Amino acid sequence: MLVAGIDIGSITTEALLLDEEKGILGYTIMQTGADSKRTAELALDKVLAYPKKNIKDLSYIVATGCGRKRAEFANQTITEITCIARGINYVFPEVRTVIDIGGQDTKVIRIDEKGRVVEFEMNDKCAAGTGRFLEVMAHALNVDIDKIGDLSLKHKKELTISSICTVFAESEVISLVSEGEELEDILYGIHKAIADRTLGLINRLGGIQKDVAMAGGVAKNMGVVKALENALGVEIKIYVEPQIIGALGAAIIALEKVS
Amino acid sequence: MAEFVGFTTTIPVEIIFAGGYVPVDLNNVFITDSDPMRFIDIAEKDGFPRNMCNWIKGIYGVVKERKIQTVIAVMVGDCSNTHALSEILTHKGVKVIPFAYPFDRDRESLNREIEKLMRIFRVDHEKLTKVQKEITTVRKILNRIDRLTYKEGVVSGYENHLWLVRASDMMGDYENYGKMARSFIQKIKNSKKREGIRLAYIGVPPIIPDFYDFIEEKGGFVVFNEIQRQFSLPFFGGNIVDRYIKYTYPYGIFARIEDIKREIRKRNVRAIIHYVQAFCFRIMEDIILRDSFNLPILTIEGELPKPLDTRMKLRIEAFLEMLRSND
Repeated sequence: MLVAGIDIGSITTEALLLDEEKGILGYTIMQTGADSKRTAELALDKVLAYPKKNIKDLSYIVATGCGRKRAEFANQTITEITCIARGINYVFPEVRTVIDIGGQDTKVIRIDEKGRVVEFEMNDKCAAGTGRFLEVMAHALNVDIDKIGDLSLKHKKELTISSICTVFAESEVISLVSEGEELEDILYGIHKAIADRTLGLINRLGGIQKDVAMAGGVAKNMGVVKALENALGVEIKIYVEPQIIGALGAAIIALEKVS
Repeated sequence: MAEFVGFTTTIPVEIIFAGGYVPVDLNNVFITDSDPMRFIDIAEKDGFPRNMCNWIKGIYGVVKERKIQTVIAVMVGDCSNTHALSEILTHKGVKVIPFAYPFDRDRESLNREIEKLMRIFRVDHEKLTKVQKEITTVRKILNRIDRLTYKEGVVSGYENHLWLVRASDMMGDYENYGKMARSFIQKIKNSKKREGIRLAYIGVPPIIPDFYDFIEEKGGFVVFNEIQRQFSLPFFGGNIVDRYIKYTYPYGIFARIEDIKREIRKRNVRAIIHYVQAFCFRIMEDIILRDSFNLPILTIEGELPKPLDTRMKLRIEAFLEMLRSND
């Protein structure tokens, strides 16, 4: 038996196949682009290609993410908050707090021992403190987005970016550049700003409960991870591929539906 | 034809009716219009900033477009932006009558404010008592609609919201509003009982048109609309001062918490949705509210009179999924 989970996010789409033993048979990560419906179909085709299967071999498909309604082939849609909780619980059963920072959302989810959501918080309309914020800053500094996290770890000064708004923070960063501040120090300030913003959401949930894990694309940025670890005073667990957690949770729910 | 008297939030409407005027809750005109964005545009074109409460801009747009000559502005007990709004309206030639609910809920101060309104609208006690009695009959019908929501389950959360929120001006004609409410009850009283996760809606009424529909579509059932119920003044004994001193909305968060606690117990509420308006000072009160109830709370921040966006939908849907999974 084979099931699939598909997570259609604002920036990337992930599709994942799970067998009846909850073994991951394969996954794929694609840029969502402008046509999320088409991307969802392509992602599913791609993940099915390696084990030489097709959609008829799937017993159940659960779609999640902000574009979940666009996956017309799915049997069910479930929010990413529920799916991330289930995905993290599968890979790290001891985790009780999940921080998910994606392209445009930051979510902090408190979960129980079964991976059920107990409480959650999410940033509002503003994209400050999300992946998009990092992209804008990397662009303003003319640095590759994949390198900014490691560069920030080489900082010598603890610069502060005080603006919360992405647009204002960009102006602040440009001012720091013209004042001759070092790139690594500015990047440290940017990553610290994300950690502070996330801390605000965590505090709304009354603080963290251990263990803590991170999911979403921004979990690959060690600058953010270290800044959060320093702010929280705990070690953060990160799965080998943090971007597939939502799709994994969706696939686990799909499996439960048919078994 | 009787003159319209606009107001910025619920005031002792009995006085306006007793004076022979037509009360107009400016918020209701704004939000029930088929194109409420138009009123916001009017205000922004006149220089209101984009990053401020859209209810205030909507009220301004309504006064300007409908050429309302007299506005009662609630200066204490509602929104701090009303100060500047009333100054702008005065500057534009509108007659502004300030009204203040005493922050300390002092009976004497409230009595003075009510007496002041009575003088302005030339209403004596005899006339007021008569109108008050008639309006109480209507308020009792609205109270029945509320009971039919949480006890019988035959009134939807949206219908409950609508009937109670419009009680602030009773659509300008309380006798007709009473008739409409009675015929609504006749129509729905034998309807099928609604099921769903029992929710409380607390905070100011939503600016978003499809808020209740979406909650219901996803399996929620709003059995308590906090502020809307307060707007219907469900307090039946005593005189007009007694009634408006029991009204919780203008007297700060602690007056409200007491009422919410009592009602969520009575209505067997499973979780709370706290609505806040973008750029409103009440967003800060969310801190206190979150510490005050032993129930899951979802805070939703609305801004424009437009349908729910994807992010708001995600929150509501995830919240209901969470409640269902923990059943």
